[in-house]
Amino acid sequence: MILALLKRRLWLWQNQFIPLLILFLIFPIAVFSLFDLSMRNIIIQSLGKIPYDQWAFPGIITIIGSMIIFPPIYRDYYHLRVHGKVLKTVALAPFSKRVMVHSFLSVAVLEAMIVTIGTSILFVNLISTGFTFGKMFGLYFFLILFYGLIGNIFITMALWIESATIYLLATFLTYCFIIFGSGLLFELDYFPVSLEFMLSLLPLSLLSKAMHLALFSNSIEWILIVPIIIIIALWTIGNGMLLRKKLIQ
Amino acid sequence: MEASVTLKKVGKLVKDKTILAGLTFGIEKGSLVAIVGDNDAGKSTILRLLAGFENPDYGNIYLHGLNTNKRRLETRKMVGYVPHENDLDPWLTLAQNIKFYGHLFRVDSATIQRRLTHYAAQLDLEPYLNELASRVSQGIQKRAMIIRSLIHNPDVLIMDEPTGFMDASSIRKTWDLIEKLKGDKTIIYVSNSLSEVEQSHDRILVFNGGRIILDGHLDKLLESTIEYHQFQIEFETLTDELFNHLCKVVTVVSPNRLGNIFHFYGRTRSVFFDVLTAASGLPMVDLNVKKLGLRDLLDSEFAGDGLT
Repeated sequence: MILALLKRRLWLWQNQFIPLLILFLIFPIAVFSLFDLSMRNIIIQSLGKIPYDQWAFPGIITIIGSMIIFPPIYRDYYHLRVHGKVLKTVALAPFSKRVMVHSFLSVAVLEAMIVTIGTSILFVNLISTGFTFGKMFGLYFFLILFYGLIGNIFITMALWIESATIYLLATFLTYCFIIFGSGLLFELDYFPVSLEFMLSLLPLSLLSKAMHLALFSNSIEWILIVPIIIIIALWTIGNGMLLRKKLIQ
Repeated sequence: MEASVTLKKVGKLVKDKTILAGLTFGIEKGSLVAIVGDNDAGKSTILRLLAGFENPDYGNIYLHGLNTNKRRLETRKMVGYVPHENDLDPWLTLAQNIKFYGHLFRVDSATIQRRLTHYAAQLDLEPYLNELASRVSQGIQKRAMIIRSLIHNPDVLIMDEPTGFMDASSIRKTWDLIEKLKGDKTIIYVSNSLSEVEQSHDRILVFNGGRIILDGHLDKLLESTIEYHQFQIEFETLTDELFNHLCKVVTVVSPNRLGNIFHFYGRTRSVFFDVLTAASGLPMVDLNVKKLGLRDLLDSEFAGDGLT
């Protein structure tokens, strides 16, 4: 099923190649200009004395990827579903709903990873990240986990919510948490203690913490990483059940 | 003959409303079965259940002896489904939509291309294959949906309004294709075009209120009405008084009017003369006598009086 979905994504890219290419070139440059160029003059250093440019680099890449993963999921699980197109007919193929969710998610993650890798290569030339090849691969490993988690959040929302207004507001709220409340661009220590505690318990924050520890302290915290992998796996199964319920199949 | 599709006490409820009420019937392999009935009779629901689009609330469906609920993945390969509404991906071309479905069913690219070329030629779809689905008419999309449903070579083809939105030439080509597929594939379809159903079927299932009220070939269904004739007399002026007077002719069955046309059924041709006698002297514009058809069979008032 993954191969069929990949071919379809390629065709969709091919059918709208020029506008998509322009957007995907403008997108990372816009994020870099609007986030990094301003924030580096405000924060300058992380609390661990790492230059903000370097510290924020994985976060900016993650945020770009989280925005890339949204359209394919929105398209298939929300827009085309509520308009009675594609998804129900795809569900007639001989695959379980769990495999279906897993395949859609994998293809969306792969698409986000391809754009992310391109973006990270572009950024390495714009920012002095000081990242070695090893660290870049480490970053990509964490990005896969981030996208798996964020993709599952978007799939749940897309299947659960019927109203476009509620869906869009819920999406904006999710992005507020991703950008401001997960420790990707701003350390959670800046928040009041009680709020910091609550935010630090979110899976995205745990993963952000594990990523920063691995990339800047060379400390791989499996105690943070393994539960996230389990959450992603269980969430995918849960989304498969939700899809089955939604399609009444 | 071997059964291709078997339903055992299949029911579907929506909240408290019964959409399908404990249906039990079998469909022979290779036959062409039409399902007709009023709106909300449960026609499309039964197709969705057969296609695996939805699950029944109770009862079992078997395809080639396999329970569709317990052997879901195997039975899905056997079915091709054309829904009523167009459901193609609007931002893929028609060819890409069809190929995508073939890849989902793990059909190799060469076979997909061969089948696509073959069916596209039969349905005259070649000029549109590289058009985006969102940019072609609904009738063209429907033709693409038919090819999509055939791309994995299913044994059972289920179609909801197969000629919906199509022009006359496309309708003819679609029925030509369906007639060719018959025998090799079991085809079950729903249509509101009764003239098309009369032309193309081995068996007709008439649905009403989620139940099958008539089942058989048109000739067999019309057997009970074999003595009946359908008459139509157009008067220059059909007054209420004249209409009521003609309705009182004892041999007239199920009379009704449309403007100046008096329409009725009768067991023998002699009824026609009874009416002519009753209307003697009044100027008439046109006369018509017809054999009964599917439309008359579905006329609930007539069916209520004459068939059940």
